[in-house]
Formats: sequence, C-alpha cells, structure tokens
Amino acid sequence: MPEYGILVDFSRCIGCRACEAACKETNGTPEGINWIKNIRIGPEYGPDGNLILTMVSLNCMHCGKAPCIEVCPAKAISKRPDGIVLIDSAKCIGCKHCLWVCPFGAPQFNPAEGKMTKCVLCYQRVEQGKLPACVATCHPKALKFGTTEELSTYIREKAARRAQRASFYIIGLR
Amino acid sequence: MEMNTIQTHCPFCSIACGLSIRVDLFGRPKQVEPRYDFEHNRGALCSRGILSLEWMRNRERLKKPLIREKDSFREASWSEALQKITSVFRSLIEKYGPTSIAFYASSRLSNETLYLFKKLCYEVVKTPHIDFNDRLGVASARAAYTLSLGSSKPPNPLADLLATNLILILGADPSSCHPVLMKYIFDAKDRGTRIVVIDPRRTQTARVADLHLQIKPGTDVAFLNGTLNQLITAGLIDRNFIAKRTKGFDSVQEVVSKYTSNRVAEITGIKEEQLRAFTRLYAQSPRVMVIHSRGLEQHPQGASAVLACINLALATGKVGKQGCGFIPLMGHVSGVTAFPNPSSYGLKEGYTIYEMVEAAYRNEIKGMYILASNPVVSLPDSSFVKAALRKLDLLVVQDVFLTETAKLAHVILPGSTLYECEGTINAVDGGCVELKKAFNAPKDAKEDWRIICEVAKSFGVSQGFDYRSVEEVFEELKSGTRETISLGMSRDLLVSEGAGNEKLYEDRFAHSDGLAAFYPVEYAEPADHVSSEYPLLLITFKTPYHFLTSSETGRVDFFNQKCPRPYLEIHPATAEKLRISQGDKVTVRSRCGEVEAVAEVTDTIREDCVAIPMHWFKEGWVNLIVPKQFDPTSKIPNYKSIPVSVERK
Repeated sequence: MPEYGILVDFSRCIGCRACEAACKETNGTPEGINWIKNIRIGPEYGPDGNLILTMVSLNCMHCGKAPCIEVCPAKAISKRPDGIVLIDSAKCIGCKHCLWVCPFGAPQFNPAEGKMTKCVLCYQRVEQGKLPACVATCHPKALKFGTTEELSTYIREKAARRAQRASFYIIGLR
Repeated sequence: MEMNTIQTHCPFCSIACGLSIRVDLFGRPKQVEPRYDFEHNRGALCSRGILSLEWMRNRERLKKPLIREKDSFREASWSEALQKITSVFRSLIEKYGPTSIAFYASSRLSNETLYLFKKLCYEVVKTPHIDFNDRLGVASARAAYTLSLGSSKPPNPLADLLATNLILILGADPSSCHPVLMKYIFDAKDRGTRIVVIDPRRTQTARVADLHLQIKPGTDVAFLNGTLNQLITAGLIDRNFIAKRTKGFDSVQEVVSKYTSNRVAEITGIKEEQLRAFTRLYAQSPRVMVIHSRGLEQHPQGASAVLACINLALATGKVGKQGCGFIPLMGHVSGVTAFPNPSSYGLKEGYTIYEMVEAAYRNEIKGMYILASNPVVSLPDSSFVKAALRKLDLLVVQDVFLTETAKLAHVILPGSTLYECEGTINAVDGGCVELKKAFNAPKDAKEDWRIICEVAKSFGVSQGFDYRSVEEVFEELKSGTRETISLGMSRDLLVSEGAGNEKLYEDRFAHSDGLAAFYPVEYAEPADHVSSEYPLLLITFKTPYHFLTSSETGRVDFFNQKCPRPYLEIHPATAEKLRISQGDKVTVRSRCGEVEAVAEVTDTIREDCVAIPMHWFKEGWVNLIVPKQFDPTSKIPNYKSIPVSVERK
C-alpha cells in the first residue's frame, strides 16, 4: 500500500501560519503544543551574499522506519498500513524517549495528561477522503498531501515545466 | 450531534473568501471550514479566517446597551439608550443646527447597513457630515481612477492575474494583508509570469519576486515618471493607443522628460542599473497587471502616485485588455459608501473624518455617531483625536467590543459581526457576495441595520425605515443603482440584471467622451522632511496576524502569542550606529509624540527606514506618533513616511 506524506514547497511558504491555526482548530491541541510548526530561517546573508528569508512548516514526517517506534518502551507507537504513525495515548507513559530520537522534534509533551502527542496526519479526515486540515487551508499551496508516488510526480512535473520555460527563453522552443 | 452548515464569507480582507460555518442544533457556532465552490479561495483560508469564531464568541463582546455614568458604564435597556440618543441629538439640532452632528462608519459593513446609515444621516438628521473609514484606505485610488479613467470601479477580476506576463506589486504585501491572493501570484509564477515588487521592506511577497526594488518611501511618483521617461526615450510606448483612446499625453511627456535616470536614482535611492532592469522587464512584457495598495497611497502624494501608475499603463497601452490593468487592493471587504449622494437631498459635501475631528475640537461639531470603527487608534495623532472626541456633548458608538473609541462614548450600542447579519458586501474586484446569518448576536446585541432603523424610528421617522427584511433594503438600494454601479457596485449584480458582462474599458473608458485622461504629476519633496533631529523614516505596516486596529484579533490568544507587542524593524547598520541590539526596548519619537517598542534587528528593511506594525497594543500604538498630514486630493493621511528618531531606552 502506498504511504501518505506531506510535502513542503519552501519556495511557496509565506509564513502566514494558517496551517498552525487550522491544526489547532481541527485537533484541539492545548496551548503551546503545535503539531505543525512554522519555522523562520533568517533574515541572514547566505554565502553568496543573497538575503535568505525562508519559512518552513514542519509536522511529523511519518517516517518509513520511524525511530520513535523503535525506542518506545511501552510499544505505544505504531505505523498503520497507509503510513500514518500514531501514538496510542492509552499505552503512552510519557517518558519522552521519542522526543530524544526524533530528528524533527515532532513529538511534544503534554504536561496536562503526562503523555506525548504528535501529528496524526488528520487520519479521520483522510479516511473520509478529505485533505489534512493544514494542507486544505494552505492558500499558497506550499503544503501538498498525497501518496509518495503522487508527491514525486508533482515535483517532476514542476521540474519539467521549469525546463520547458528555460528552453523558451534560451532557444525559443514553445 | 447534527449540525447545520451555513455558507457565508470571511469578514476580514477584501478577498472575501468563501467559508461555511457549522452550527449545532442550539444555534451555537462550532467550526469554520473553507468552501471549495468560491472562486477566490477554492478551499484555502488564512489563519485570521480559520480563527474568526474565536473572537466572535469572545466573552468581552458587548451584550447590552451601555450608558456612561461619570467614569464608568452602566447597562441600560434599548429604549432608554435610544431615548437618550434622540433627546440629546434633538436638543443639539435645535440649538446649533443639524450640521453640529457628524456620522462616521467603518466601510467593513454590508451595503444595506451603510445605505441605511447614510439615509439616517441625510434624511433624518439632515447633516451632510458623513464619512467612512475607506478614507484611510482606497480614497487615493478612487480619486485617481475617477479622474483618469472616469470611474472608481476596480477594472479587473482576480483571474486576470493568471493571464498576464508581469505582475507589478506597488507598495502592497499580499502575504500579510491578503494571504489568499498569494495563491494567484504563485500560480502565475509557475506559468512563467515575472513578478516585480516595489517596497522599502523585503516582505514575504518580495521574496517571490524576480526583481525587488527597495525604494525610499514616498518617492513612487519620481520612480514611475522616470520609468515612463525611459520608455518614451526608447520609443517603447504605444502611439496608436495614445492617439485613439486617450487625451492629454503631451503634457505628461513634457513633465516626465525632467525625470532622467540619474535624478530618479538620486531621489529613490535605487541604482540606475536596477531602474533600467525594471524598465526592460516592463517593456518586454506585452501584458502587465498592477497590484497596488496602501504603500503607494498613504502618502502626502497618494493620489498623484496612483495617477503616475495609470499614466505609465496608458502610455504603453496596457489597459483594457485581458491580463492588463489594475487591482487596487482594499484592506477589507467593503460596502458601497458612495450612494446615496448628498446632492440628491439638497445637501453639500460634508466634512471628511479628520475635518470632523478638528471641528469637534473647536466645538463646531457637538454630537457624533460612530458605527463599528475605531478612529482613536486608526487616525493619525491619536491623542488629539481623543481630546477632540472628549469635547463632544454626545458620542454614540455602535460596535462589538469596548474599543479605545467606545471607552470615550456616552452611549454604546452592541452591534453585530458579519457572521451575525444578512446582507451583501463587495470583494476586491467589485464583485458582490452574499452574507448569510449563521447565528444570533449575543444577548441583547442586534444586527447593525436593525439598530439604525430603530434609531430612525425613535427620531419619529418611521416612513422609509420600516423594512421587514434586508432584501427590501437591497431592492431599494438597487433601484438607484445605475449610479451605484458606476461607483463600484457589483459585477455579479450587473450580470444578474442582464446589463451585460462586458470587459471594462475594452472599447471605451468611463468618461463621457470614452477617452482616458492623462494627468501630469510632479514629485514633490515632502514638506515634513527628515532632519538631524528626526533622521529616520517610519513606515507603518500590517503583520500577517493582527487585523487593522486588532480590536478583534487582539482578543485571540493565537495572534497575541505571535505578535504580542509593538516592535520596531530596524536595519543592523542603523541599529549599530544607535547601539541598539535585538530585543532592546527603544523609544520612537516624532514631532507629535513618542511610543515604546521592542527592537527587531533585520536586514529586510532599508537603512534609512524603520517600521512598526499599525495594530493596537496595550503598551501603545503607532498612530500616537503619526502626525497630521494629508494628501490634498483624497485627504488620505500619510502613514508611510514619517520622520522619527529612535533611541535605546
């Protein structure tokens, strides 16, 4: 079965944080816990003297071989056949091991419940055929949702268009 | 639980995104979801739209009419509040005449509400003094479009952005103010459209641009004239179009010939190569769409700058075709404010809002009725505005929250938000959208248009104010619409009336002779110049989080966490000179006051400029230090180039 994922198109993200707001509205996460977080890089000068100011929205990557699953002593984290990695809060003991090993800082500790929480890729919405809340609301279309196959096709199409445009400017090929 | 879904529109920016509100069986709103069937957003929504229920359900909403008792307010019944309004207004009218009363409203209300408010002003109180907060917004653009093209109606639909070769964004930051518009800009870019941004700040919009020119604030006239001069010299103008469709080109040619590239480079602070690069891009693009907004308009030369921009497009024949034209961005969804005319009631043009405030200060205006607006925060020189409003014998404020302005009121009427009333409202391209009532306003609060009718009735005028539904108001409004349409009413309305859905300006412009008029404009050095005392230019801007005076978004935790206090964007070089480092508390001084802010050292701003968000914060707001200075044509205040000094606290 193909795995689902979210693709972040850096060039399109404008840092409006609509994804954060939509996630909070849909999943009702408590204050201070953002399952998706918009990170600002810059403004700073890059090595070539260009001003860098980039925004990136990061959620759980729902890894293929997720380190959080490997380390969880309570066996609370599991991966569904469609690729979505979930924490079973009934089993979670709140030891924060998953936070240690996650390369993306996705799992967050909820002090009120004493458990770990993280992005669930809006699996209820996905099961109904809807897009995850953050992707649905993203107006510059910086977030894309789909199976890994769809996502790579999207990137290739974009690259193909880029090549076509360049050829138009360089050799006039329409 | 079962839910009802009501389809309506977002009450914030002028994109007017379609959204649906899920309401449970008790009539309580539960969730906002974007709609896929509305062309402007197609399923997208920004954070302000998603969280719009947060402030509508806020506890601080005004629920009952309030009447001032010395320094505090007491709750009152509707009849008591209305009684007080009419009795004081009546005695003022008897003593000082009807011109002692002034009306001011936000234009972020439905067409029907604004129509009734004007009717109340002209027909019941019979005063000519009424103004709307679009004086601070699209006034410059309206004045310039009317002068030059004959009508202030926005000429192009948003979809034209996808059918053009170059998008020129002048003093606008859609990424903060109209986030959903970025969808069009990115999509256009994907299709190979070039993007040029002219903005002293490197915004997220500027990051997308192929060319970003950080010109000095307030020098747009020189920049645009210079570009036109270069195009004329290179012979890249459309002589055919100029001869057939326009008049007065010679005078413009004469004026712009003075704008040589080295002079323009000196005025705008941009290198000559960059100016040439822009001219080249402009000339290479057969179709150009211009998006402009407050950055171009809120200057002492606001209307002139828009005229310069129209001159450029007319001279190159880039108007009146698909993918060619202008999108003047309104800050927010807006009702029509130009109808009815005072002349149809035998009245003269009344005061603009700042003239009202000044008249109140010299005791000429004694009573004011402010509808859903917050002039204490939004007008320049806030402390003067406050002092003037304090002098009024009766200040009536109808709003949803206890704003800074409402705190000065004698009577406060609890109004409704745009989710709580029915009506029609206009989006950015002049299209009229229908608002539906999703839920009731809290407790005793009422729909704005009903309150206005009740005020009229308590004045003893029931004829003409006894509407049973908002549709009846709309029918009446529409019967006079020939006039309204030319003043920027709806495209959809035109289509539904069968009056034709012709492309605007394809064959003729809206002047009676069908020709567009060139207006030569000269760059004028600002009267209020930077000096050794006030060496930096202050720009005020909108963040992606709060909205306008943040009387609504300021009550949502999400936005307050992102933008909790006023901050000052300052360039590292300037900051080093002033020994300011990131996070320092600074005092910003202008010739009318001072305000505190936290320094945000950033490369995204010009070295000779600083910038503070325009929103309201508990610690203070930037309009306290914005002096009174207006564009002579449109009376728009200057919010974008104010000489200031900055000092570490």
